[in-house]
Amino acid sequence: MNCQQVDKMLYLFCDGRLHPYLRSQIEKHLENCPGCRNNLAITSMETEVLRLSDDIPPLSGDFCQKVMLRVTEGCGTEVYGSRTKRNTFSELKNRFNPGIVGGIVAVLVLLALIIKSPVLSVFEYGQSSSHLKHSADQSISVGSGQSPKAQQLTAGVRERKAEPGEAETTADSEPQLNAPDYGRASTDASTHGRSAPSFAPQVSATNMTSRFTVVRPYYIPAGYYLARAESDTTGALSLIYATEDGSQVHVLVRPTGGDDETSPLVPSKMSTLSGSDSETVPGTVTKSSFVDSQQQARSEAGGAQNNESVVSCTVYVDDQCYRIEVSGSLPVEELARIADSCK
Amino acid sequence: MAPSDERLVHETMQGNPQAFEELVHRYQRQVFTIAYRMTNQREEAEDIAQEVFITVFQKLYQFDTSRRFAPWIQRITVNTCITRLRKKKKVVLVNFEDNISNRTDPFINIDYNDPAVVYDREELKLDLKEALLQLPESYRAMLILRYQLDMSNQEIADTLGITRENVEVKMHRARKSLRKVLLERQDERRQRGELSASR
Repeated sequence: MNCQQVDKMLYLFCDGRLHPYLRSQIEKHLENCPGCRNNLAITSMETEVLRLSDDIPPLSGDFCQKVMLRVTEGCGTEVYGSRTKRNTFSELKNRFNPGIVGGIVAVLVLLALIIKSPVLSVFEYGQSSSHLKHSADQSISVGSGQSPKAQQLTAGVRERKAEPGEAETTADSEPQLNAPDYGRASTDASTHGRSAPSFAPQVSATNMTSRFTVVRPYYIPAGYYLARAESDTTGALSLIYATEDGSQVHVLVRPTGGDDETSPLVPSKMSTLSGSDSETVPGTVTKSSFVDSQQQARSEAGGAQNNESVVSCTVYVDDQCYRIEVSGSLPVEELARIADSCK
Repeated sequence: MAPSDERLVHETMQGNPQAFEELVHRYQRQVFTIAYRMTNQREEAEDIAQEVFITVFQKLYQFDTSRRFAPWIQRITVNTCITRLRKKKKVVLVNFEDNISNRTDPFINIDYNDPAVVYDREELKLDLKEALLQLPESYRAMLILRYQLDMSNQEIADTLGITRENVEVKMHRARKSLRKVLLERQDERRQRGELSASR
């Protein structure tokens, strides 16, 4: 046995794990080799120090309690004997490389985009349908007499022009939008209680066969909720927002014949009946013009009291002119804001 | 007569928490020792030890009761330590094949005439702690299992899931690697001593 062979087995010799025959061979070699004897001394010293464990600190006294607490407190109460979701997930993660799976998904999406698969068509169709449905849902929730806050949150303008086919499809799923009795008399929250209304108050028809326009103000002051909604055969829409203490804001939207028949056009300017004469609000809609509203508008708005202000404007939607009149006891700026938000 | 580990595992699976508590009592010191030697930090070692027992509890259903429990929990401990260390990037992995085996033995030309010159025992104790941390985790784990838990090559093989021959080869390399680090530290100390003496 040479020095190299001895060196390879020297640590086993020190560990006392060597076969007796090999041990005797090494001992023979060590008798005649001072270098290996010194190597043995060093190896023995290392082995001895490696075995020392007096520097290992004690475990904290409550270690076992901590473990048991964690075990019983949900880290694994339902664990043993069953596979947890986390285990299943980690197993799946180990089994499938996330990078590869992600790559495959990306390729599939790209392929689907390239060939415009029917799946995507359905998806697109679903998107538009859901948009319409969403609008309808919003309309229902506004008129359903739910909490004022919820109604206020859902208050907003929905302007939607739908193709005939699309509108028809949507109407199938949402009967209230089909509106065979589109222009029927009012649906009053006070008389119908809190049942879901079947009216279409936010839908005013300009051309019943091809399009409909949903008009609602985006902005309603805090505390106001939709108390009443009416529409008539002319396509006029009347919305009454009220507070708990009885004050009201009346929004009237009615189709007109284009140029306002009662007031001269005053572009980019809004004036009021009882507000300040110089009160102006810059127009923000390109195809709109603000007109000075007269007493007739106040009477049409209905419910307007003597101390109420009336703000009105006209707006063009798809070549159809609508007159929007907002009346109430709110400050003129607020009324103007409501009217403006209808556009 | 105390119930066997495997019996306690079975009882734990039946819903007996005392059985698991007994397992914790039996293995807490061993698990903590491995974790402490692997990290050289008491708090972290205790944290790892807790994690090990939680993992053991959660994966008891995977344990084959026809086999021994000790290698299983030791393997979980070593793997947990290595995972934790790698997460914290405290260890730079060294490919032993490239750095050690292709070189000549680092201690072949060393003068071993006086081992006391080469190593001072007290210094060796301090150096060894640091040197262990510089070793690759697999070597460190192997040395800890052998010298702290007094395991045979076969037991280490069972614990780490490798062959006994592989353990022998790796153990030899681990010892050589450890010797190399220790001697480097000794050399550094000696050079620092000479520098300070010359000033």
